[in-house]
Amino acid sequence: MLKYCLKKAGQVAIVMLLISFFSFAIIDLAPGDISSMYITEDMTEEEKAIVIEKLGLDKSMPEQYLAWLGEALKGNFGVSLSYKTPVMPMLTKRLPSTILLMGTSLAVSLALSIPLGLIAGYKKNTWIDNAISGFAYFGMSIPSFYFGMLMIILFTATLHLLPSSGMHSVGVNTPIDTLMHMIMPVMTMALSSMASKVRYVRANTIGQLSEEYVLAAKAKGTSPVKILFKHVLKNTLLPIITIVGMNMASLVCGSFIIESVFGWPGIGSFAMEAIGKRDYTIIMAYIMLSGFILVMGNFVADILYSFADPRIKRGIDVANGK
Amino acid sequence: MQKRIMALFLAAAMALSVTACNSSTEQKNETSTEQKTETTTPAETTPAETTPEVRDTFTVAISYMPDTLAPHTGGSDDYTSMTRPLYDKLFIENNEGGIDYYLADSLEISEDGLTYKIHIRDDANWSDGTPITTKDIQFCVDYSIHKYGYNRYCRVNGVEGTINIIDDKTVEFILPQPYNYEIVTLSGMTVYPNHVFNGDPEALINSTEYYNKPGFVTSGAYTVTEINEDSFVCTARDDYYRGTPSVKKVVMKVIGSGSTRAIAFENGEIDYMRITTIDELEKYEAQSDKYNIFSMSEARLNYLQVNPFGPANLNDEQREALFYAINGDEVIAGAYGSEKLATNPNSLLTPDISLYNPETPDYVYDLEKAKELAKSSGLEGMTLTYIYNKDRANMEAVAVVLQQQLAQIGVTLNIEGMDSSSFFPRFFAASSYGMNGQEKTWDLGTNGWDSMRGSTLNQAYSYLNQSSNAWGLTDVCGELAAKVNTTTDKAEAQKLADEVIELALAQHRIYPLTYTNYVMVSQKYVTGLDCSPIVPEFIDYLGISVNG
Amino acid sequence: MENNLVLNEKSFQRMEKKQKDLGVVYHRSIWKDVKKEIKSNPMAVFACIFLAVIIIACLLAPLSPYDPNKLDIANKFLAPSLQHPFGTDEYGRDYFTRALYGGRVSLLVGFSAMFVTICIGTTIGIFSGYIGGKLDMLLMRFTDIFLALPSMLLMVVLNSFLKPGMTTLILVLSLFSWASVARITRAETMSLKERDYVIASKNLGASSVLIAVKHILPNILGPVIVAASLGVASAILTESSLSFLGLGISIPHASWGSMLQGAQSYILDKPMMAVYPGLLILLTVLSFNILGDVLRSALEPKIVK
Repeated sequence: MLKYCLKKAGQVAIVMLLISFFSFAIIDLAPGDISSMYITEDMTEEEKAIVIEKLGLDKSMPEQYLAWLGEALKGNFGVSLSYKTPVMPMLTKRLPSTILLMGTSLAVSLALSIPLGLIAGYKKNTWIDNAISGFAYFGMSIPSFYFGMLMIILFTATLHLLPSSGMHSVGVNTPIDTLMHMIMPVMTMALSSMASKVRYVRANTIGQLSEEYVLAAKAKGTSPVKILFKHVLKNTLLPIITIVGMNMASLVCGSFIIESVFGWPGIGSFAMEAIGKRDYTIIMAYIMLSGFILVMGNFVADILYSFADPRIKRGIDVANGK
Repeated sequence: MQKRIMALFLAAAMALSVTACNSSTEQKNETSTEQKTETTTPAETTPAETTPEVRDTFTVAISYMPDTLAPHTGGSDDYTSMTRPLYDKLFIENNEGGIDYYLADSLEISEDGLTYKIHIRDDANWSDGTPITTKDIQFCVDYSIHKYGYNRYCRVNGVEGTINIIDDKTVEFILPQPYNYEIVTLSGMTVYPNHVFNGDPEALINSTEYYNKPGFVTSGAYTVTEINEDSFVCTARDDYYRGTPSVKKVVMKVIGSGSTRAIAFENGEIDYMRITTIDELEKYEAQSDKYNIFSMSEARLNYLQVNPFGPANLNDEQREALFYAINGDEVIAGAYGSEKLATNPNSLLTPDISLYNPETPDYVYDLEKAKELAKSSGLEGMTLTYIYNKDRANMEAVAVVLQQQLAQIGVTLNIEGMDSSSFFPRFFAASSYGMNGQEKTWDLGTNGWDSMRGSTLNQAYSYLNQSSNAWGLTDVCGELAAKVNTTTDKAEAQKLADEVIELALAQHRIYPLTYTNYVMVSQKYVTGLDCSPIVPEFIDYLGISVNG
Repeated sequence: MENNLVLNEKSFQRMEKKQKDLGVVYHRSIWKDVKKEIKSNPMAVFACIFLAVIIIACLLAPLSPYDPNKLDIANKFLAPSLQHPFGTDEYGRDYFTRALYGGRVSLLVGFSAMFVTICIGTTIGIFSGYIGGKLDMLLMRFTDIFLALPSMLLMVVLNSFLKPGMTTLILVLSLFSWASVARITRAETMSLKERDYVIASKNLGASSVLIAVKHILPNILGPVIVAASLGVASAILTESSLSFLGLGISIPHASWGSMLQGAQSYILDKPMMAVYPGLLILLTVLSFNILGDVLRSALEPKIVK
């Protein structure tokens, strides 16, 4: 088992290394540079030229990459070109708000999709199932920014219930205030990630309901609710771990757009700004960070799943010659 | 089965850790909030709507959260606008050709135009009580030498002048030759606090940490008392040398652009916003019981440039055909919708510049002639690459209109919109970026000059007096423009200015597209946004009131 | 008759399962399955009709009496009427015509990106799965990387690097979506290559390429078709997000996504301008998703319905 974990961890490291190389290459190819940040209107042409020259982005791409990698391995992601301060503290400062958003959306989508999926599966092919499935289809088919826009129009512009953007109102920083700001982005984010979970739980429930143990439980006179939430749920939860792990991708990428739509002060909107400024140290650090979250999500899901499902573990043990 | 229970347990642990993570961050927010509220005044918690008499906060939407609020960085108009409450200029040229004084109270220019003598107000002080003196000016000069290798505040055509400190409050900039542009340079000066950095320019460069925390020293009417993830709060100083502002608190809050901002505004989350289309203007004008509209000249010229290095390399006749085909009035009507938002220019100078001459002949729109010329010159059937800066208001709409107009003479425009970071290295490839190769990638492009006010050619000067033939004008233009800047006689300067602008326009390289107005809509209780009509807004916070 | 009396494992299973097992094995014409599946599902019927209508309407867009790009400032923001079913936009252009032309772009981007994605993904998947060994491991690591990249962010970076336009969009979209197709096809290939008929033809001396094309490809067509349908949906969705961030097709042309972006500035006062393209995206993507699911249950009977 340990060997398996180590092997997986090694793969994670290689994937991260390659991600960094690809990203670096892409950024290096991108046109434009940081210079527009430094040029003010009152500068003369000569001063502009001096400023541009001083930025000195004249090294070749492999050189820059190796220099960057050397430092990154030591945990130093460099100094932001635009802010002139180390990148990592800036990202970690904004990370909690992104984790708050991502974590809550994940929790909300799990809390909603599991019961919905169970019910849909149990009431297979009834109007309830159709409604829930329709809802899931809707969630996976609507562009998240569009749904966000519609929410803003409804709850802010029309009903004046919720604030349109940001994380808290200035001056009234209470948890309730933050909660109010969170509702719309969390719902938007949860909606898109709920769809796949609902559908998965539903399919799994239908599968489980035809298993013998359910028949046995029914025969014993166990109530449907108990069967559903005690027996079926237990067997459905396991695969959900994998789904959550794989969902990290959509969460990470989703936070990127949703943070921009709702002006959420997290790392996604920060990275978006950095792209506008061509601040490659920030972009790289963000890519590494979100790539890490993603890869780790899959990694942890793999490990958990192999713990959870004895068959996989047995398979591994056999492969390892035990 | 045991394994399954364990898995369940693990899954639950995962879910728990997520929630735990949430609550811990929330707690963190809570505690940091408590710390923050201690430093602010207690009046803030009173809701503004119910008790209008205690309204004292002015909320401004910003497009991004700056990581430092230092006076020497920046560049974008947004940043200038954000730091306006914090840093005062010495003086600024206003739209009437006069001078508004801030930190300085007099500027004397000698007869020969060589000596610029500035006196700083006796009561001008930093927010920590230290007087603002010529030491701080010297610090700016030292910083310039450290950064550029020379004193940018008194340098004319590559020759450096000297700075002469007379006493604590008086300083002279002595130029090697007369140079009218000097006044633009000096009015752009932001003073840096010498006493904080002990006069060390390197310490100023590494000052991000210092300018990251509330309470750093400022020269303007406000100090920063709170910095959050997506906002910062400026609180009025009570020892500000020009008096105490009636707006006690300015909140700068990150709000997205476009409709997000409009929604936040209509929801009362922010107190004003800029509007750039006639539809918005008409909408808010119709609700004059709820909103105020302010309009001021932006002192900005937007223009179309024909790139002399472009792949199509248009000849004289082709450029003439191109300019005949442009209908300036339709550009205004199509892209702006009203004369209230922009007017059709006739010159390279804006009416906010005293050298501006309303008689300068404008390009004429003549479609028939354009078609004829396009046919005879071979312009017809050509495809040109057109670039514009997406970060600038209305530029996309201008591109849409021009594309349709030029289609009428058989010219196809391939339009590429990009953000400033991509646009500048491309548009200024030949002038500022030392021919980086991108000068060969576009034929037409739109750009704008802002802060075109005062008594000089302003930005038109560096355009006319170009390096390495960047814009395709003849050398005579540069020589004439330099003469305008060194002439001390006003009538002579006017004559030369008229001459150089007519000469430049005759070459069909630059087409002046619009003089823009900066139009803002505010909540009804906000007044005085146009008390000192300088863009980027607001140079004078003392004139703004939030109590109707 | 005698056979029925033989007791085996199946005899003790529930009726439901037994019937299913009996039914599937024989007549396996793909199209018959698909047709049957679609007919049995009213949602699928709706999706097919909607897609057909949209595709035909977009193809017939040039029949519209209006030029999608011609400005007519005097007639801007007209309300929907018989002449202008969707009204006109901020430049007085007929919104319906623009929506049709925008649909051409959106659908073309969707289909082309799907096509490129499937081509790359299937090739790599079959190659990797069939050859196996070290090469398979290398290719799968490579695939893992693409699955782990924060694709949206890199698409934004890439899109601002390459010249904006349809080709760029298609290439960028497929670059970041082939990986999952490769995974699916690899897994299918792995299981297929152990089948008797493949081993048999291998032993008969058939070349690897022949086996891959003749024996493996036709048998993984089911999952590939499913992936294709879902791929169009996700390509249209991603294209709209990129356009929303201002990285879509260049003016004056439009896609549904860029129409949404344009409508965003007027969303408070002219919400219908955002409703039309938004609904078109929603319904089209929805239809492709439904179609994908229907195809899946028709072509991959393993999955429980």
